[in-house]
Amino acid sequence: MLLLLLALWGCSDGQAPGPSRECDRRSTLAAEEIVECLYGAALLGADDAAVALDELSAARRIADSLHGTGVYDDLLRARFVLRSLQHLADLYDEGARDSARLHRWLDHVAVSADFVRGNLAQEPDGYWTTGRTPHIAWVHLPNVGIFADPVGTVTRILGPGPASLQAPLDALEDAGEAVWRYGVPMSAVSTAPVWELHYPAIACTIFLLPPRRSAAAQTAALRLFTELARRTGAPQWVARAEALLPSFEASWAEGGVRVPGRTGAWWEEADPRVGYWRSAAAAAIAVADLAALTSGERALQLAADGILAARTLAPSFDDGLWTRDCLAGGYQDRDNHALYIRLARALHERTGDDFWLDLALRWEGFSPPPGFVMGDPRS
Amino acid sequence: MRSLPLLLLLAAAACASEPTAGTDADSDCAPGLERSALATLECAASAGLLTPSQLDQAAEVLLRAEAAIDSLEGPMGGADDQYYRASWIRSALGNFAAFHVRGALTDSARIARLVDVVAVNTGFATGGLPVAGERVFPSRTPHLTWVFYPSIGVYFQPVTTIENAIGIPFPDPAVATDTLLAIGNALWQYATWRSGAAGAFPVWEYDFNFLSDVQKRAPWISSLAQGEALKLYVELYRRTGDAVQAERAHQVFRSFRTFWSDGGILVDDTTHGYWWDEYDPRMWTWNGSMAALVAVGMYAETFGGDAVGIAARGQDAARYWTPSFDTGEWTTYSLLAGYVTVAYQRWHTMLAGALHDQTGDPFWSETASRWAAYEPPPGLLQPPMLPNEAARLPHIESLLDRAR
Repeated sequence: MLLLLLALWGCSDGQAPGPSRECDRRSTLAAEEIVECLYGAALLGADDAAVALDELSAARRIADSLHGTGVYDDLLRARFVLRSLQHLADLYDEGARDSARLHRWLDHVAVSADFVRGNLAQEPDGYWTTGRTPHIAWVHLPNVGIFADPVGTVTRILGPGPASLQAPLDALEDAGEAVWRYGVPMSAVSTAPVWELHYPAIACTIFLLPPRRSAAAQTAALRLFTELARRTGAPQWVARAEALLPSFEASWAEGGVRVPGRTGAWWEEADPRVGYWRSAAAAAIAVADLAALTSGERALQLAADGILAARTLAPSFDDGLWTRDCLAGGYQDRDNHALYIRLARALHERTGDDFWLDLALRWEGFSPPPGFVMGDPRS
Repeated sequence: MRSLPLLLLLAAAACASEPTAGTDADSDCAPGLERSALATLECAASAGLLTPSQLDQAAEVLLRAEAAIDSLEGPMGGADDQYYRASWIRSALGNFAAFHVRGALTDSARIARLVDVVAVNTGFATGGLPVAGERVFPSRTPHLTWVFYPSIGVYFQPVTTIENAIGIPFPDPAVATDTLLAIGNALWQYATWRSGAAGAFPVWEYDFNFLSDVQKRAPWISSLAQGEALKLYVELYRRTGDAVQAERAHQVFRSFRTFWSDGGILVDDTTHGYWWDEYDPRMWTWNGSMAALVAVGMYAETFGGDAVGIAARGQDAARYWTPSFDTGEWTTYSLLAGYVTVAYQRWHTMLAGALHDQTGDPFWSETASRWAAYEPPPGLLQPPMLPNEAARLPHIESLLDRAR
């Protein structure tokens, strides 16, 4: 059908056909129909649409060939690919639709097909890499799929933060270019880049379905660009870092990561109903680092707002025995507790405010509470 | 690293405002996940979805929930179990904003269901509800069974409610009619309603997000739930001859006449017949869809008319697709998933037998015989299960034993 549409379009005045009401059929559109819908809504060019259909067709051929072997493991591989096609439809159903997002979704399909054929390399740190998206790390979630991980892409180079490891500059630049290209526009009215997560998660009892957005992803990209700006002095990295700031200013409903209605600027990792201090504090530090580098008024104000929010809500994550994972959840493991301490110390370093030093010392004095189970899978 | 301009701004912020409690979301009622449950309900009331009295009653439930959270999170005592329990209540409270953002906070019935979720999770978290395994029986919703899903909380489960009483795959004649009537009446009161080309029909929605091979965002419906309800009302009509039960069955059956894209459970692609899917038209789950087909068969046997042809089209699709779930060694859960557990293999075999009992079609007896002869494939592990299925498994095993 699309080929016919494309042919007709070629004979017309160049106007793509209008979107069809059929394109609103939730849960019932095939991946190929979604491409047609995006094309029909003029969200995708003819060339892009043709390429997308080719890629979907290739994925289906791989699934068919695996299905035909009669070997159970191949059946599972075939269904792994088919599920990736359904994920595309899941993402389409959730609303945000444009060519950039379609390309990210197609990456998921193509990488899934490569994964089942053994064409990906697994790195020693567990991440998977692919020539299709060089320098972007992928994570395999058993029984769910394989997904690009923008946060892991950065932390495997710079460390979990807040301090950054001394990574080789060329590796940083490669990652910086790749991450920049992997962003998608925040909304229909803002081209500020955001890095969406395409896999589900349960965040402190809130079951989150993709596409998800996260202050952790925005912070990872900001850390990377700021570090590149610091090390190279190149204006393009400053510009890219500053290009993220609208996502820290915009509310969750506007496509950003800021939760309105809280004192200061609270930047949320998972969902406004959850509340992760670690991400809010890490984001404040990343914005402050950019502000320190550029002295830009916008970043300075945002950093002050972010630090204020982290300061205001810090007591809610501390019950006198141990620190809490999130506002809606329970205790966290030792690694995250140690991260809190590093974040508090980093905030002290940047602000000189003894509140943070006192907090770090207080948390350092905590012992795991009796009966505390490490690595509790519930959250 | 320290920045002088930043320090000045921080000092100004500190002078201007000591940290204070944040204000709630804006007052224009634009959907927002950050909006509190009460503020969201006030928006619903201002939109005419709730009366002042309904709002007051809901607010009381929310206040009790907040108090329970405070009580659970207050004294710790050295374990984080209280936080975990409080998180179920917080999650339940968060449903209002999530439904609002999704455009799903559209009628008072659905809002009432979400208020029940808050009340039941509050009772469960504070240890005040009767439980049996994963099943929970709140007095707030008599005769209806709720299920505890780890990491999510407690939610109403229509399938567990009905199956446990009526039996599988066919109604158990030993179950007292009074029991079924009580459940049927309670379930009817608990329906929410949709409209499609076939008219208005009741549905029993699941109010939690769910990940299977595809993702389901609450509220979602299932052919298994609709099928069990259909089975219940057909059975009640058969036993009582009461026209009320017949009418209820007819109204439930409208969901089987309504395409998925129109809010029903009939998969839009009818190339090979009619398929009513348990979860999603992109998933094709065998067990729930076949249980629904058994219910359609019962309805057609009882009421005739065009339902006979509809059931026949259901048989067409079932015969066409069933081989795709059969590797020759074992059966798969869906067209997107791998092998089922041993218990589900028994359930699949029982359903194939039931379809033979209903139709006399040798396809089903051959299928049932073949599946019964399968040995678990070497290395078959307990496959990772969907949360919904994992919670249902012990229940299914006991039902299978009861039906044997």
